[in-house]
Order: sequence, then C-alpha cells, then structure tokens
Amino acid sequence: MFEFLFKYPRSVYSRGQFSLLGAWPKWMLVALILAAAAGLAWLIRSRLAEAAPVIRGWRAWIIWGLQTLLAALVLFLLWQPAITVAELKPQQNIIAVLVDDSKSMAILDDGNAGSTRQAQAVNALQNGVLDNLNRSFQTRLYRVDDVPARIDSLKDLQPNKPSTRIGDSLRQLSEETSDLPIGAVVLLSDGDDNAGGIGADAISVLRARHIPVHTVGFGRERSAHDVELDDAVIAPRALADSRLAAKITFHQRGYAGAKINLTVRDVSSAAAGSGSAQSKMLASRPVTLAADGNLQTETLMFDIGGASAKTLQIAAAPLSGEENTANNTLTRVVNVGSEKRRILYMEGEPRWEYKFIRQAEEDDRMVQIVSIDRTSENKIYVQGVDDPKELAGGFPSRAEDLFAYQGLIIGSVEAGYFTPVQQDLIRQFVDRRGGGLLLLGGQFALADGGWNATNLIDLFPTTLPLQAGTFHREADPRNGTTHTTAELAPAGVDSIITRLVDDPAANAAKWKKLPYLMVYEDPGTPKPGAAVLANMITL
Amino acid sequence: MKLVRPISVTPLLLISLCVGLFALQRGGYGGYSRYYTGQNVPSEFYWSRLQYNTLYGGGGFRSYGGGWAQDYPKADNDCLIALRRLTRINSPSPLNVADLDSDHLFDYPWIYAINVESWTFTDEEAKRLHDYLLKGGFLVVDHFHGTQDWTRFMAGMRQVLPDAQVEDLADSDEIYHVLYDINEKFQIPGEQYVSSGITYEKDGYVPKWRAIRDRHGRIMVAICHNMHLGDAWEHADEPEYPEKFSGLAFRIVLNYITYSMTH
Repeated sequence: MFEFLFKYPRSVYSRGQFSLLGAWPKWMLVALILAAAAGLAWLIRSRLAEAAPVIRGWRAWIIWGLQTLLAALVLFLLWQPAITVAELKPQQNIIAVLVDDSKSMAILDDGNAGSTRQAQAVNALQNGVLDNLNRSFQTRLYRVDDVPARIDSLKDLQPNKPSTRIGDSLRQLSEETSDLPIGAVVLLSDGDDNAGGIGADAISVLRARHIPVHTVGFGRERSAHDVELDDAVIAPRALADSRLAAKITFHQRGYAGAKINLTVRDVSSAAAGSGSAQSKMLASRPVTLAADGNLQTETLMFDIGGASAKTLQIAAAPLSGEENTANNTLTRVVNVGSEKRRILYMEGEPRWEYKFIRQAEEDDRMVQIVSIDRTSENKIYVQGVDDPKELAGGFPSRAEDLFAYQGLIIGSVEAGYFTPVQQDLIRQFVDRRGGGLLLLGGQFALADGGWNATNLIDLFPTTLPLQAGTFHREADPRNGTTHTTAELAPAGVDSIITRLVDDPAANAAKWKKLPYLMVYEDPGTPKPGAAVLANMITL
Repeated sequence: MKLVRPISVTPLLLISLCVGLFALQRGGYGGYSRYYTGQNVPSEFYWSRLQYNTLYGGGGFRSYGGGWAQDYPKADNDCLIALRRLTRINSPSPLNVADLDSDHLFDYPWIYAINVESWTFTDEEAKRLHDYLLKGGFLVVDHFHGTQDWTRFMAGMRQVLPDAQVEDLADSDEIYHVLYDINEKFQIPGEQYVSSGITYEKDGYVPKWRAIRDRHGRIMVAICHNMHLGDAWEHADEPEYPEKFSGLAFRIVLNYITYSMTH
C-alpha cells in the first residue's frame, strides 16, 4: 500500500535524502508561504464582518489554516521536491565479497549434515549469489582473517588461520581500494572476532566512503555447550629462570559448576619443528567453572625456564559434549632474556632488612644486588660490585653510572642525604631511563625522612602523611597489647608480587599466618591509579 | 640462759654481714639470679648474651650463674656504648639475655657466648641453635683457652653443626674490613694481664681467629680462641689495662656486628 501510494518503498524514504530541485532559492519559498498566509489572514479578516456569526471565532482560524496549507502545498510543489537515493551503477561499481577464512569457519554445526560454516558460505555464493551480483556489478573476492587478501577463486579458501580481525580487515580494505569505486561490501562470517569487535575507526572509514556492509552470518550465535578462552595475559618479556603468571579469562555455557583443567605449555620446540612433538607442561590447575556466560579469570603460575623466545600454549581441556573445541586454546610469545638485572640498593643504616634482602637474592643468578649501606655517619659499605672502583664515591652523581642499573631500592635514607643533583638523577632514572623504583619504610624513610619536601614525591604512588612520626618499632610484637600485621588487599590476592605459594586460597591463608610486624611505617594515601596490594591492620 | 643467747646470735650476724658485703662488692645480685631482657625497649639491634647449660666446671646451673654470665653486665654495656657512638645501628635497648629454650632466640640475629668450653646442649637446644645459624643468625664465642678447652668447645659445637668446618680467618677477610680496616691483630688478654704481664692462659699461646661458614660462605660462627674480648671491653676504663687491647677488642666486635647485619 505504501509503495502504491508513494511510488517507492519505505526503505527508499528512510535511506534517502530530501531535496528541492527548483531553480529559485529556498528562502523565496518560505517568504511566499508567509506572504500567502498573511494575505489570506487579511482577506478573511476583512470579510469576517459579512460572514455568518457561526463562522466568526475559532472556525475562521481553521479556514485560514486550511487555506494557508493549500497555498503552501502548491508553492512547495512548484519547487519540485525530491528524494536523493544512492544507487549503484550497474557494471560501474565493484562489490567486494569477503569470506571469513579463520579456523572457526571450519566448525561443523549441527543440522547441516557435516557441512562446515565456510562450506555453507561457499555453497551460498556458488548457488546464485555471485552470479546475480555479477549480472549487475563487478565483484572482487577476498578472504579475511587478520588481514584481507584478494583471491581469484573460492577454491583458494582454507579455513586454517588462527584469528579473525573483522574491523581491521574492513578498514584495511577500504584504504587499499581508495581509488576503486567500491559500492558495497558483502561479508560472510561466523562473527568470531579476536579483536573484540569492530572499532570506531573502521566504521568511520567506511562511512566516509559511503560503503554499506551487508553481513551474512553462519553458525550459531551461541553454543549450548562450550568453553571459550577469551584472553590470556602473560608478560611479553621475562628473565630466565623467573616465575611468571598467566592471567586467563574465559567463559562457558552449559557447564556451570563443572571442573576443567587449565594448562600452560611451552610448545616452542614443536613450533620450531625441531623434530620433537613433545611440548613441555609448565603449569596445570583444575578450576571450577562459574555460571553460564560469566567471565571468569584464573591465574596460573609457572617457571619460564632458560633464555630463548618461547611460544606458550594456554588451553582449557575439552569437556564431554563440547560443541566447539577450537576456541579452547590461545598462544602467546614470551621473550626470555639471559641478561642479568642489576639492582642498586641504597640503605641509610645497618638493619636486618638489608641483610635478609641480600640473603634472599643470593641464589638468584639473574639478579645482582649492588648495595651501599651507611654504616656510620661518615662511612659507607659497598657490596655486590664487580669492580672495586664501582660506587667508590657512594651513590652515583652521573647519569651513566646510575643508568647502568635496571632497578633502584631506597631504604631508610633521609631525602637530605642525596644532593639536588642526585635527587634529579633519581627522577630521570624513573622518567627517562624507565627504571623501577622501590621505596622501603624505615626510621629515616618516607615522611619521617623529609621526602615530602622534595619533588620526587611525584614519583611516589602515595601521598605521604604531612607529619613525621609515621614510623613505629615494637619492642615485643608477640606479647604487646596490640598486634600489627599486613593483610592482602583485593589487588594483592591476584598479584604475582604477593604470591608466596601458587594456590590463591593457600596464599591468602599463609598471609594470615605471617608473624606480627616489629617495624612498620604509614606510607600515606594511595594516589588515583595506584594498586594497593596489602594493607596494614592492627589487631 | 642469758649468756647463751648472745653467743648463738653473733655468728649468724657475722655471716649475714659477710654475705652482705660480698653482695655489695658484686653490685647487688651480680646478674646471676636476675638478668635483664631488653625487650621492653624497641630496638633494631639487641646485644644478646647466650645463656646455656654448663657441663664442665664454670659452676652453677644456667639460671643461677655459670660461665655464660662472666663479665656481665659491664662488658656488654660498654660494647653497646661504643656501638651507639660509632655506628648508625639503632640500639637503644639495654642488655638482653637470649635463652636456647625459647623461639625468642630467632628475634635476635646476633648473639654472644663466653666460656664456651663449658657449654652443652639438649637435643632441642642443639636443633634450635642449628636452625638459628642456618637461617642467618650470627654467633660470637669468646674466652676459652688452650687445647682442652678447644676440644670441649668443639664437642658442643658438633652437637649443633655436626659437619662444621672450622677455618682460620685471614687479615684480608671481609669481616675485618666491613667497618674498620683491621690489618693487624694480636692476642687480647684478660684482666689477669695487669698482674701477670702474660697475654695467654693455659696453653693457649697463640690467638686463633676462626670461623664456621654456611654454604654461601657467610660466617655464622665467629670464634675468638685464646683471647678474652669480654675483659677488654669490661676493663677498658681502667688505667692499668692497656688501651691497645681494648681498642682492638672494640673494633673487632663492631666489625663482627656490622658484618652480621650486612651478610
């Protein structure tokens, strides 16, 4: 009925752009309509006295309104109203047909008699879609996974690529064909995207060229029984023999409450084709699956081993009846270095923390602690150096000396011990060199060490207390009237820094059993963005 | 009857007077039946003297005297004064006595033991001291002289560290350069030197500066054999006792303490 009345279907009016084709300016139309309205108003008013009493009043206004509308309509038609609709020109526009070529398209879905998703897409194209398109337009075939690649024939499709990035592929296609009259894109995909969606940049690029994307979906939107790994976060670089954490995010459907085994394997040898098909198991832990659809995060700890570039496979063991096991694995590359890390530790007084920190790192062949301890008012004691001349003058005053270290620990040292040059060097060490800074509490540290008066407080993750007296030493923590200890904060529960044992529950229990603290200091209020790993509590 | 009463009371009065005078000379309790634990004063470093059971001579069980308490408390106090004056080590606490029967021992990573030729341990004590040393504790032993004393000391030491290897410390060892550079050492005699002029006791003619290390090479037991550092600290302010002995003794102990807090 709509098309019968208005000649074109509703979609044309919704997609089209309204315009006036008349040669006269638009303001003239508005002016004439207003003039007509004014003229009619004067006419009706001048004849109102002669009209029947029933016409006077609001009915006169209605008559005026209707006559004005008629005049406006006539004038409007004189200006030739039209709708502009973009339409492809036959045989002049190109239709880009993109077929998803990732591994997920090789999945066999129920009810299709052994036909994979990609086979269904190819069948659809071969059974008339391509022919129909070719009658009116030129077509170009592309396969799409991480990037689009033009293909000559549908036979070139092989669904074996590890990932799909639809947004990036569309954006890249638009940029590569910027000199071609691409009229539309037809995308055949199951929608399993590893980039997490189509970004605004891809959409804006397509919109700028007025290229519509027609999507044809394959597979089920949601599986009834499936476990899918969404992401695995592992540090891309590590030291040899260090301990890493893999933070694995996943969700499931149909297996709420079931147990599944998460594993991390080193598949480097197998990937390098060294002849050995054996991968090395690095970590394995059973976890209980959360409710359907809920994102779940678990952390697995493992020893990374010797130096080399390693390919790690993170996997969830397939469960019975699982419809799609292709999404149960992820791979990540970790570059394991063999260069020893040198840490400079500046301590302002002999104290037991200094001794036991050095002792704890004694057996670590990848970390070398070079330390300066202020043993008396005018003496320092240097340990861990390779060359007797290193640090002979104390804390470095030149950038090339300080920047030789990868990390800096400042213990119970008052800010005034460092010269302005040294304080600026510490700032540059963090800002410019990218070194890590660790500050320890102590009777001469933080607020009690006058650090509030320095510009280095910008580097601190906390706002220091304004008053001194923040450092406390207990004479006999066990038998005192109050007991102070450390309690893991939520961020600390997941952090590798505070992990004393691998299992999270056992780790939390171990923290609760740590001895009471003999010395502690208030570090101040965390700044926005700072992660609090543990809090000091007094029992 | 009237005559008997004065005669029976007088000896008692005389005995009481003598005991009182003796106690007065020893400074009251003399530290044998009552010793101080410095836990009431918060301190980074506690000077901790090891209390142990005595097997050979020395007299007394541990709670009521014995070799472990010789030179106490003045020697310990004089060392603390030097420590506070000459280093940045926080040590406001008064003296402390550490007992092998308690896990409190692990709160004091540095301990001093004297007259160790007379020490012996129960199995529990030996294990506790063994764990203490291997976890990072540091023990200084002093004032035992000659061959027989050494044998008895090692008998006790073998209860604690059955596989201990004892080595002589060279002048170039790190422990003698951690605070003061001590390039020359000599025998430090006890207070008997003032009257005898002899620096040795028994057949301990040559001073032995020795140590037992852990598997990482850290000294965990520092052995001062054929010398008496305790007397050198205790009598440092006596004009008859040569300053050179006290001076070296103080430098040695400050180096030992600083070493224990840095290794």
